[in-house]
Amino acid sequence: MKWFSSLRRPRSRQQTVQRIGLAMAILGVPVCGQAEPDRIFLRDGSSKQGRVVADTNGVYTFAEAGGPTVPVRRNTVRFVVYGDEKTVKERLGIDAFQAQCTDTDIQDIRILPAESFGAEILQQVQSAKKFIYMTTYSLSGSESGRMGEIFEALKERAQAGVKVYLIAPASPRAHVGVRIASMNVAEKLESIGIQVRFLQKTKLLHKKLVIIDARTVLLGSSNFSLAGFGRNIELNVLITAPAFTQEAVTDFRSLRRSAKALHQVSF
Amino acid sequence: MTRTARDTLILRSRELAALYRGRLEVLLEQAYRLETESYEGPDLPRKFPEAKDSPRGRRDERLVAPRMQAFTDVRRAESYFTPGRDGIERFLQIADDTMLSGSRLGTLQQFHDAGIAVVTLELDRASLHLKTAVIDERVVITGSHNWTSGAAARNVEDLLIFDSPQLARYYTGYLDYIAETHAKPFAEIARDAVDAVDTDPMAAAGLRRRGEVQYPATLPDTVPRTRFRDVNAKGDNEAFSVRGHVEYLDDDEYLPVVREMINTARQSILVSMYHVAARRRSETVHEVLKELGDAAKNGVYVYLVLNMPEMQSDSQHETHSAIAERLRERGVDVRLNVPGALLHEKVVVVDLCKILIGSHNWSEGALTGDGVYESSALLVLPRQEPRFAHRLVGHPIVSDMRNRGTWEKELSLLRHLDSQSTDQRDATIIRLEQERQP
Repeated sequence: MKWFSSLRRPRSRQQTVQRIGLAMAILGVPVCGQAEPDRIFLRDGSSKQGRVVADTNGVYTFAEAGGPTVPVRRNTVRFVVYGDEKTVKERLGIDAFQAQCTDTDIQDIRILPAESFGAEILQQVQSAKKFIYMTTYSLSGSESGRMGEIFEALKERAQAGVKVYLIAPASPRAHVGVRIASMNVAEKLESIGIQVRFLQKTKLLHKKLVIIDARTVLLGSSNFSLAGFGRNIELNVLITAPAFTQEAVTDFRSLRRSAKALHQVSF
Repeated sequence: MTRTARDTLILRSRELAALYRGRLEVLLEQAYRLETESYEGPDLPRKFPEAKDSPRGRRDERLVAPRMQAFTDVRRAESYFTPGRDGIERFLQIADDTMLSGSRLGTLQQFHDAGIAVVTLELDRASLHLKTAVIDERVVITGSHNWTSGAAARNVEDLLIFDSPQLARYYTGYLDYIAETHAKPFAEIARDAVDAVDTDPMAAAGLRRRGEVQYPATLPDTVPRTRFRDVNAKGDNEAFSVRGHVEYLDDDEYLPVVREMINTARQSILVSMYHVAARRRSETVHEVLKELGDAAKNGVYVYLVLNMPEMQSDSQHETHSAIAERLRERGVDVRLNVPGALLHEKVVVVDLCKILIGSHNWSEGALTGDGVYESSALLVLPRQEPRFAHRLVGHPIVSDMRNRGTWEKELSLLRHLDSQSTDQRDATIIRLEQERQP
């Protein structure tokens, strides 16, 4: 009762706006700038739509659309998907992580499981004009399917004058089968114009990285293999952010400086 | 018994030594020379621990008269061990418990069905490494040669056959000791591997490993598997786009970011990881896992799905099972991928808006940056993306995570199904689904 009586006499314009907003949230009406409701996904498999009014001390205060405001304990919730960016920013602490990102602009990011990653690599390789940098832990010599298409594209680009460089591991930590396979494939790649180098340090090369013309980076979990581009459960990204790309280029060039040609590798 | 079941023989025989030396010299000519100049790692141990006396008997240092045969004929090998041969009073087979998984289970079943007493070594920290037979209290066969076609036809092996009642008595005593003290009968385990149970299967089979634990009530229910078709089917496997800020993280730059993400999570932490190393010296990994448990205790929903290898003998099986056991006790929703659908991704999603995708496994070398060169991307999204959750929660996973016994049984069953021919698998699936009709 006290709450209702105080509603009649707001002390400030800000307080008025807040109370109107709270009332609209309770009624499930979208507030200005909030196009979508908040969604709560509970651990019992159910879900609700409405507005998360507050999130304090392990409890969500949740106003379900057309229903009362109820407390929902955090340990019964799997996800809360907020309907607007402002709430995400306020409640999920993304500022601290955003501050760690060198590129200040928002970027388009492609999320690529195994098969789409292979398809995207092929497309990017075919569009390369200056250089193609690649690193992988394991390298398949298979010429079938996607691997065959990518090797053909690399060959075509190398013959067109694009610099194509690949670094693979020759560390004692790499599985001996992986090392042997990579070295066997290296000879074939060199014959089609791809410069292959091996990182023979105790520290193992495990990066899976493709950089096209200092404008596009593809990285993730997929190795250069049929499994990495097909049957495995993998996840990779395609990013074109300038600072991100430049860091990847610097990283690759640093590794290449300490990598050896095939005939220099002692095995 | 705390060490692997193996044998060490000291034989004084010029004839045998000459035979081995000749064979090893041939191998030496064919082998690659190992260059060690570029090796930058720690010193290798210079002295290996000496073998101690076995639990019974002593090493026989007297001269025995062995005959060495190059055992390359599989049919000849099989002639010694034809199951059900007339006149055999006792036929005991001791197998390692790794043979209970996949295609090898069928082999043990065949021996069992032929009337051979089959037992499996059941020890947490030891395995059966012997390739030994004792025949008619007289003939002893031992060496590196497993009873496989690969060993017979492709590998470099040795196999020694002794005509020695004294040696046969010694080995019989040793094998009986193993069978009586540290092995389980095969029949019980085979039955458990395929039958559905409603109560605690580990208790029913007398295979309880530890005291039962009550998982926190906030974990989602897990149930015995009722569907066995297309268990490897991938969930959400389509490409999609998001918009956000990005940062390139290489080597040791990943660790502080992932720890901060975990420690500041408000709602959820989803991790899909090919490999988590949890050896004693993996201190950094242990700290990260502890922080996952702390987040779960604070009410954050923590989900961790780990790869399960195709073979139970792969050390990753034990490592990830132990992590699942430990973290589920702390309220983390750990799930195990169905063997056969290799879960190779390395993804961390916090609050559906802070994401790491890349090559960093959770190993000591990767997280500290000391052992492995890695590259990952940090994505910070202004709008949460539930599709990451659909993907990670939708992977093909083991269904029955009630306790270690139930998920080990389901894994054995899934591996067994995977090893069968299409017709056999279809028949087994029909039977299982009928038995488990709700």
